[in-house]
Amino acid sequence: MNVKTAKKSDFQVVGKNEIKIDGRSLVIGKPKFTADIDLPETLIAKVLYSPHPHARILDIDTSRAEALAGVACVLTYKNTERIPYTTAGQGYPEPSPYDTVIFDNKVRFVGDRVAAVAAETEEIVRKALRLIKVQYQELQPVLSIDAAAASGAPIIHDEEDSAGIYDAERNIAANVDIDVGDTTRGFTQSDVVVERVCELQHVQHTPIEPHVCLSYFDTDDRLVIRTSTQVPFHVRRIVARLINVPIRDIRVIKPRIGGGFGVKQEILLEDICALLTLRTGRPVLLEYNRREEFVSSRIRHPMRVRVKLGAKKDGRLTTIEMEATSNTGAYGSHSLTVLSNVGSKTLPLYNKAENIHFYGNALYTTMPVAGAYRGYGATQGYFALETAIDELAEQLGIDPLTIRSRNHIRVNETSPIFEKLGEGREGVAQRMKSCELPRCITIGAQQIGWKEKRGTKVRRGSKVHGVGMAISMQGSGIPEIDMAAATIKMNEDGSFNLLVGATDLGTGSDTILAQIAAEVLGVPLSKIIVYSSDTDFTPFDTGAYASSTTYVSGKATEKAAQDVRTQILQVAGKMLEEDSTDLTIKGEQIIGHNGQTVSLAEIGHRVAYQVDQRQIIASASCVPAESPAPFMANFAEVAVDTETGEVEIVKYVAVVDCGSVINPHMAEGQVEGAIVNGIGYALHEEMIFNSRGSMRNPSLFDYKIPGAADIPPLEVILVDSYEPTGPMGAKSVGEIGINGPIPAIANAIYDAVGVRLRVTPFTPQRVLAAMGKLPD
Amino acid sequence: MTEKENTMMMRIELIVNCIRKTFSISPTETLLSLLRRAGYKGVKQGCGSGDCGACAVLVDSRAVNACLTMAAKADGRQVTTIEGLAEINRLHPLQQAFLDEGAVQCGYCTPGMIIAAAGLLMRNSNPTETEVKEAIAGNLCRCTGYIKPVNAIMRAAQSLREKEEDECKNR
Amino acid sequence: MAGEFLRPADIKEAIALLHQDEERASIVGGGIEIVLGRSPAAERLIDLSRLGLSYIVERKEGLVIGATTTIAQIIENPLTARFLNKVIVEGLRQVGSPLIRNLATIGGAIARAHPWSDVTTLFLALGGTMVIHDGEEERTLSLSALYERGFRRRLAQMIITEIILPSPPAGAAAVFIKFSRTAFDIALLNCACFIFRPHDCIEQARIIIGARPQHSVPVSAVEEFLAGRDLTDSTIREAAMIGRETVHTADDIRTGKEYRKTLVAAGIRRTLTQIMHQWNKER
Repeated sequence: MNVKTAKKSDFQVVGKNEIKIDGRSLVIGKPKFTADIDLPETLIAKVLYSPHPHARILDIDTSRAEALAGVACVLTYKNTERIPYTTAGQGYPEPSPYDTVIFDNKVRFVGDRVAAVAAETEEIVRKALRLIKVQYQELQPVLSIDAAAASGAPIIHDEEDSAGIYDAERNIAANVDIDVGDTTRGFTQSDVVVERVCELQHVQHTPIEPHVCLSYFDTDDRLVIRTSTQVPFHVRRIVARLINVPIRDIRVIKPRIGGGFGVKQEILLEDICALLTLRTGRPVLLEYNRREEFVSSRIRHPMRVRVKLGAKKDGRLTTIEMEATSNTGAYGSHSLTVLSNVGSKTLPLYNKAENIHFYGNALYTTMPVAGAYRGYGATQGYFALETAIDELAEQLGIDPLTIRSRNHIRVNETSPIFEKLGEGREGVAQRMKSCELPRCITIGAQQIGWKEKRGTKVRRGSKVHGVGMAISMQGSGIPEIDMAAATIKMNEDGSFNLLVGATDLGTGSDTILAQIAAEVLGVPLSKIIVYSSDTDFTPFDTGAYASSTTYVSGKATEKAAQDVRTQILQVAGKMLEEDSTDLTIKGEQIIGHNGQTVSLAEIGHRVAYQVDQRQIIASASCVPAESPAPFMANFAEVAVDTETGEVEIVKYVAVVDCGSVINPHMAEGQVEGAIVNGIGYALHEEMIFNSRGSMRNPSLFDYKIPGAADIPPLEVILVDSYEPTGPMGAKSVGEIGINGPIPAIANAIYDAVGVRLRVTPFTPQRVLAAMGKLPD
Repeated sequence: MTEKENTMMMRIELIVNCIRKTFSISPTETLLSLLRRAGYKGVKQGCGSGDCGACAVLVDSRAVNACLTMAAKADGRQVTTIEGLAEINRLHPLQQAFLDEGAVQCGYCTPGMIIAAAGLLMRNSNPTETEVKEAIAGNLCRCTGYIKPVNAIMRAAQSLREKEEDECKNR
Repeated sequence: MAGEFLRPADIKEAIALLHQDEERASIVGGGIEIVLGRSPAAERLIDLSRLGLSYIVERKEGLVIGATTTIAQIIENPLTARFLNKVIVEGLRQVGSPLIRNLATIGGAIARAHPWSDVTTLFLALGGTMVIHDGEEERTLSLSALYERGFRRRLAQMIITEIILPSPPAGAAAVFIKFSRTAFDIALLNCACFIFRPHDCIEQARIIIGARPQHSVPVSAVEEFLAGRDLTDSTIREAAMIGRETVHTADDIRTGKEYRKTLVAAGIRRTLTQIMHQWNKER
C-alpha cells in the first residue's frame, strides 16, 4: 500500500480536476449530438404504437398511408422479416431471451410497436400514421406480477419462435435460484429472525435527450447509423442481423449523447431507422418525443423483494434469504441479469452469513418494458436488505453502524456469491483487494452527526428530525465477459491519438481515459486527442454499462499506453545511448539517468521522417478477471412533517471508496447525480397507469424529477483508496450512488417518526398513512 | 411541401446573436423549431412543453423556453442562443466556470442552464445560492445533481463582479 | 393550423379582429397556451403585445397590472414588493419556472384560470378584479366571475385588459402557501388567506383553496367562522378543521382526495398562523 500511495502522489494528470476534453465545445453549443446535423433529403420517421395492452393484430391496412403524397415507406409485420432477438445491448450471446421481433402480429403493452412510417415531413408522417388501419383482437391484459403469476393467466409470449424464455406458459421470462449452506438450519439456529417485503415502483431514466437515431448512406455508400447509444458495437451486431446486412457494411457512430443511465443500452430505434434507409436509400431521422421516451423506451424493473435475515445475539448474521419478483413488462430485456444482480451485487456485502438462499422470477406483464437502469437490480435489492438490517439492529438493540461493521466484507475476504451468481450465468470467484468501507462508515457518521442525532427525534414545529444510513457495493464491469480495447498512435509532434470503443454517455469517460493515457505517457492532457465509439475507426468495446468503463476500458488504455511508452523509450534509448529501461518520461521529455533529455517531438520526428522510420502505435485489450467492488456509506438526515407527511432531506452525506480517483470533479459528479436521481426515486418519481395499462403521466409536467431547487445539502467524500487490479488503482463509480438513498431515507424516516416504509416512493400521502393519520 | 399549402407564411426579423436575420415562418412555429432549422443546434429539445429548459434562449435578455415561445412574438427582438454568448476565443465567464467547476456532464442541458443563469446575472450580479437554484429551477439535469452547476454560477457571478470592478478602476 | 398572426395596435382593433371571426380566433398573451395546443381555436391569432398593456401602476382603486405584464415583471416590480408584506412576490415566485414566468402573462393566467393555478388562488384572496373589454365598453368584474357558468365561453369574445388588486387597508395581511411534489411543479393544493383586522377582531377573511385539484374556491364556512374573532391558536385549529370538512377535494395522478383534505387543514392553519405571527411581531 505504501509503494502504491507513493506512486499515487506522483501522478501528474490522474487525480487532477482536468477540464472535460469535450467540455469547451459543449458549453459553446457546437452541434455534437445525434440530431444536430442536417443531411439533405432526410426523411422523418415515426412509429405507430399499440393503444391496447394486449391484442392480436388481425390485419393492418397501410394502403391509404402509402398512397399519401410524401410517404416514402411504411413498415409493418407484413413486410419485415420475423427474426427473434432481444433489444438488450449485451455481449453475445445475450443472456436475455430472444422474445422480440421488429414488428409482430401481436402487441403486448400500450406503446408497443405496430408500424413505422418515413415521409418528407413530420406533418405527413403524422397524417400517414392516422391513415393506417389496424384490426385488433383484444386479449386479456396482465397488469401486475400477481396477475402474471396467477393460474390461468393469459400467456403473453405464446409465439413459437422465441428462444431463451424460462417458462413462457407461466409468464416467467427468467429465473434464478442459488443456495449456499442451509438456510433452514441457519434460521433455526438464529437468535433473531427478521423478515420484510419491499415493493418498488415504475420509474424511468429520463435522460434529457430522448433516444434519437439518424441513418444514411455515406459517400462510400456505407450504411451509417448515427445514434444516441451506450453500446455502438452491439448496435452494429444486432442491427446487422435484423436487417440482413453484413456487419462489415454498417458503421455505427456514437456522437455526444445526452445521458443514458442504462436506457440507451438498448436497441430501440436503430433497427427501424436503418431498415427505412435501406428501403428508401434516404437519410432517416427517428427520434422519441418525451411521451415515447416514457412509454415505449425502457424503465427500471419494478420489483417485490422479500428479505429474511437470521442473526446471533451479538449481531452476527448467519442467514440471508432473498426472494425477488421482478416485473420485466412485455419483453424480457435484461430480465435475467437484473434479477441476478438483485442478489449478486448485494449479498456479498454481508459475507459473514454462511447460509444464503437467493431466488426469484422475472415475470412478463403487459406493461412497459423494463431494462437496464443505473444500479441494475442492486438498487432494488438494497432497499429490502438495508432496511431489514436496520430493523434487525433494532431488535437486537445494536447500533445500525455496529451491526454493519460486524458483518460487512473486508479486504482479503470473499463471498461464495461471487462464484455462484454472475451475469445470467455462474460468476467469477474473487477476493476483495481494496475495501475502505470501515472508513467510509466512520467518516460519514461523523459528518452527519450520527451519535448526537440518532434516536433523538428532535422536533422543530411540525417537523421531526431523524437520521438513517445504508451501505452498498457495486461491481466494476462484468468479469470474463466484458472486453474493451484501446489504440494509441503517436504523432510526429509528440501528441497522441487515443482511439477507444468506450462510450462516453456524458460520464466523462473520454477525459478519464485520456488522463490515464497521459499519465502513462508523461504528457499533459492536451497532448491526447481522443476519438471514441465509432465502429469503423475505433477498436471494440462492449460498451458503457455495468460500471465498466473506467475499470475495463481504462485498463485497456493503460496497457496500450504502456506499450507505446515502451516503444518510445526504445527509440529514446538509442538516441541517448542508454538502456531504455533506465529512462523515464516526464513533462514530455525522456530523461536519462545522467540527466540527458530528448523530447517526445524529437522522437516523433525521428521515427516519422529520419531514422528507423515506423509508426509508434499499440493496441491493447482488457478482459477483466474480476470485478472489484466500489463501496459507499450513505447517511441521510430527514425532517418529517408530521402534519403533512412531507419528507425533507436536511442533509445527505455520501462517502465512497471508488479506488483511486482519476478526476475528482467527475467522480463526485457521478455520485451527486446518482444520489439526486435516487432521491427522486425514493420520494416522488412514479409512473402511474390506468386500468388498461396506459401511462397517465408521460410528461415531465406530470412525472417530476428533482430540479435544482429541490436538492438538499449534499456532501460527497471520496476516500483515499487503491485497487491494485485497476488502472491507476481505480474502480468504478457510475452506478453505486443510486443504491443508497432509498434505504438511507427509509431508515431516517423510521428514526424520526417510527414508521417503516416498505413501498416506494415515500410520498407525503404514504408517510401520513403509515403514521396512521390517513385512511390507506 | 407536397401537401396543399394551407398555412399562411409570414416574415419576421430577429436579431440572433447580434446578427439581423429575416425568416419565413408559419404563425404557430415555435422559436425552438425556427432556431434549430436555422442552424442554432446548441438550442436543445428535451420535452417540447416547457418542463425541462434545455431549449432556453434569451429574448431581449430574458431567459425563456424557446419551445413555448411563438417565433412570431419574437419578431423584432434580440435573441441570444448559447452560440452567441462567447466572444471570439473568449468564453463567457459562465461557460468558463461550468468547465472549471466540472458542471458539464453530458452537456445536453448545459446550454439552457447557462442561458438561464445568464438571464439571472443580467438582473442580479450578486445572487445567493438560493436565488441561483431558483433561477435554474426550470432547467432539468439528470447527470449532475446540480451541485456543480450551482457552484459554477456562483463562481461566474463573482468573476463577473470582479471584472466590473476592474473596469471601473481602469476608467 | 394557424393561418394568421395579427398584431392590432389598440384594444378597439383587437376586439374588432376578434369579432370578425370569433370561432377561429384566439387571443395571444404570452403564447404558451397556443404553443401547447390548449387553445381550441388557433387559426386567427390576435397578439396583444402592441396594445401597451405591460405596466404596473398604483391608482386609487389599487395596484393595477396590465394584462400583458409577465409574471416575472410583476415579481420584480417595486410596487408589488411593497404590497402586503411581499405576498405577491412570494406567491408568484412559486408559479412555474423562471423561464415560464418570463413568458406567461397575467392576463393569460387569469383568462385560462387553470384549476391548479396559484395566481387565481392568490388573487382571489387579495380581492382581485379584472377589467374586461367587450368592444363596446369596459367592465370591472370580480375574479370569481371566472368560475361562473358560461363565463369563460363569453370571455373568449372579450379581452382582459387589466387586473386590479385593491389597496389593502391598514390591519390587513395575506399569506399564500403551495404544497407540491417538487419546487417546479403544479400544486397538490394551494391556499391563500387574506385577513382584515382593523382593531381587535377580524372584520373580513378571505380563504381560498385551489388545485383541489379543481379550481380555486373560497372557503366561506371558514371565512364566516373567522369574522368577529381574533386569531388565536385555538381559533386557527378550529378554522383548519372546518376547512377540512367543507372543502371539496378529489383524486388525481398527483395525490388523493383524503390527503388533500389534510393539506386543506395544513394550508389554512399555516397561513393563518403566519398572519398571527406577523401581527404579534408588529405589536
